[in-house]
Amino acid sequence: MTDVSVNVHHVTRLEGHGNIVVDIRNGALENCRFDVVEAPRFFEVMLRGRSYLEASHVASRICGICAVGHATASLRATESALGIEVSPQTTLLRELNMLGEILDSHVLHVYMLVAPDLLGQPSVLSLAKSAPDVVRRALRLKQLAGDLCRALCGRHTHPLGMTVGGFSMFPDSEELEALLGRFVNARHDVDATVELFRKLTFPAFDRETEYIALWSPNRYTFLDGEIASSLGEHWPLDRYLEVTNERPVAPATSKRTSHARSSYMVGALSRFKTSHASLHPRAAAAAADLGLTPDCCNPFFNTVAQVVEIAHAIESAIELLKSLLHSGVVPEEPVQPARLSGSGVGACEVPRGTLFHAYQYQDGRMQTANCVVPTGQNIGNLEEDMRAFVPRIVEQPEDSVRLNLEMLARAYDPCISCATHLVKVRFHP
Amino acid sequence: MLAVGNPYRGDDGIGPALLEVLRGYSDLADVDMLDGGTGGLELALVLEGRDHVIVLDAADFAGEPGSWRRFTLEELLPESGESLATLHDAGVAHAIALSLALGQRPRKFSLYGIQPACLEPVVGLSSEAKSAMLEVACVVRDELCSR
Repeated sequence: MTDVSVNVHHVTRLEGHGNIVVDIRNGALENCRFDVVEAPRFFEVMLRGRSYLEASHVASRICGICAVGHATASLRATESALGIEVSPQTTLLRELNMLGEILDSHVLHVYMLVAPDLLGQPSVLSLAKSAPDVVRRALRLKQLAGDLCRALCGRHTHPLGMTVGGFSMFPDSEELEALLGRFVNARHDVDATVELFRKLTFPAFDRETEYIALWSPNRYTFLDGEIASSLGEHWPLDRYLEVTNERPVAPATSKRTSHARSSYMVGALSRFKTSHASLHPRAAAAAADLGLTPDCCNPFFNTVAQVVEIAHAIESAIELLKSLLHSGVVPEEPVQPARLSGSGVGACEVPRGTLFHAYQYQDGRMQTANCVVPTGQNIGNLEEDMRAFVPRIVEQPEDSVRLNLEMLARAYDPCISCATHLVKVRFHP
Repeated sequence: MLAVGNPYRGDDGIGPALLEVLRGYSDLADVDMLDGGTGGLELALVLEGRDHVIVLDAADFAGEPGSWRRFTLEELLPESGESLATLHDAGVAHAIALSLALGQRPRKFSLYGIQPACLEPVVGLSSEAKSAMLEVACVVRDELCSR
């Protein structure tokens, strides 16, 4: 059997510092690691001593892609700690904002990172030459998502208009009407997206694991809810530590999480598996078209679940926009804290999975902060997938091994997914 | 006319600052002027169907702080080896490359790049950047008036 050594250099990028190491010698898997040095650790320290009003603005800087998600989870943690009940309008605006972020990130991932692989193109630039309509569609959808967030909170990256207890800016009905029209038109782009991915073939690789996501009885939730496992249990958010069980694992520099099994998965596939019954009918139809079923345990289908969520995000945004236009958006003063000391947990489903922020305040100042991010939760599961997957592909041509490993890492849509282009594979005679 | 840059990072804000100066010229009233912020691939859509594109940006071309250069389309394109390796950090050059790949090529294109003196997280331009503003604004105006 071929000896294989895969190394990804330490990538010093904003979105994560990571190493991929896979070594096979004489047919035996010697090493299989995906190390991420997580930025949130430093943010947790930076948050200490901050006023409760500043926390979400600092927290949003954890990630430029999931800035709305980090800000929202942070706000929910603060509001829980300080006894703030936000208005139904605030919740609705936040849900809509989360849909914008889900749409933006999923379109980036499925079109610009995954589609080139499956269409045999080295990058989105070459894809633009061979299939310009595909890339234009992706840009259109991303632009729509960005414009939605801009209308709701000033800008998508590091939102300004969301604050503790509510919003500091409000969209007018003309903006919402214009967005509604564009979202309705975007159904054509969704149909074309589903059609494109229906024709693409994903590697066949099944490995059952535990799937964790936020869950709510009657909706496909990206904001609030309970924590649910595909194994059937549910927990309130304040028991998140019983689920995540974060711990350092030598020799890796990043922590690992696990619950009932040695690892679990978060993200679109986990959400689909735990909440598929609450999908919008058009999204459920997309799932059926794409061959995605609740018993799927192929991690490559995380991308397919993201396509389904693109359909769901468009439909949910249409419903929420109609609802806001019907009721009219009323400028509200943010709800003030009932107390200035206490602790609380906030959680969101960001594009890559479940995000927890847990804060403790004393006299309005942050005492401790804990942020558990999706990519950190997925690392252990990705490693286990790699361990199961590598022996199955090791006899394939070198280029195919390299591509398959890149694609597996990319399927999780980790923060360093772009950097997996830097994978180095060495084949020993 | 597309300005790119972050006004909260010192001279990186020279593009938007120049745009504000040029907005004040009444003979440029028919020019579409857009502040593209810190950019992103979506700027490729902004560039679609344009006949004449002028981009205003801070640029590190190893010049003296406050000096400026006019770049052509070809000079701007990212090295092929680094083409969009990091989509999360795509800038205006990547957006332009994507626009070209989509088959869009403006009849005329210029990027005016000003060498920054300071990219620290501060609001406001350095004296070097400020001193370049008027000269660049005049050159840009001349380019537009000779359309």
